[in-house]
Amino acid sequence: MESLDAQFAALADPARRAILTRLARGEASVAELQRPLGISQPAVSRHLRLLEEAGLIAQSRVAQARPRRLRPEGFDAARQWLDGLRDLWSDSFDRLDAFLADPSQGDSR
Amino acid sequence: MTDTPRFTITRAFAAPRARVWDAWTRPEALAQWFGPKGTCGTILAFDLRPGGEWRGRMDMPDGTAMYSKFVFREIAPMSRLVWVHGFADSEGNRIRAPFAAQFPLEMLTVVHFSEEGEGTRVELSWTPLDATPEEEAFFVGMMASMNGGWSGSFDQLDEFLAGG
Repeated sequence: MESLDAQFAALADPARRAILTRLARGEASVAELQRPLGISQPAVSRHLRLLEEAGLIAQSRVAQARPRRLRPEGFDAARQWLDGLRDLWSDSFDRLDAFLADPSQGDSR
Repeated sequence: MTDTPRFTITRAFAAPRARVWDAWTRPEALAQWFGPKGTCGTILAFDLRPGGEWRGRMDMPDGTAMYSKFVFREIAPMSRLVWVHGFADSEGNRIRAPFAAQFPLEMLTVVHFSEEGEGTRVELSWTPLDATPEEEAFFVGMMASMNGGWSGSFDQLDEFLAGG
């Protein structure tokens, strides 16, 4: 299983997020990914390697160009963890709402 | 990087500010609502003054327990509550988050209370405290994938994931 730390580190970079956004629209070759970013080919390759190691993208084997594609299942762990953080407060706030609506729970000080 | 690594959540409550403030500052009240779903929380210490500690134990559904230690920094009645948020061992010593090594050791929690019509608006923010660049990056990545600059593209990603 991919490490959560590697996934979040991969997501922390704006260029890598731009690559994921592009791949969310469909698979793309390295050259297609490089063009809008305006960075060198080795820099793009480095970003792609980190994304691949984090399990967020994969290479298609069909063509010689080896286009990259998103791996939806790669996002599951990171998303569950994020949901957990948000849930801590939204669950608590739901309960606070109910607590405040209960007239027997007035200020007892 | 221009992202501010900040997690925020806002909610309006249908109760006057005095009652909402009471619910946040009285341990008997906090025990009834604070904490993740499916866990049972116990407040071990609650000393509401700058430098005072709010310590708690969360019993998880799997039988394990997690301990937290919050240290108050600022208490402005009915308006602002600030504490340093983090995990602890059973003795109250600060420890790293049990679930992710790169989660910041401590986070500054700022809770702002304001009147909104008949009710009360609560805004809560989390910012990493004295974080290393790696911890900061982790937090930025985490926040970016939740809201802000990422949200537009995340919608696309959601569609993709739903379709895939």
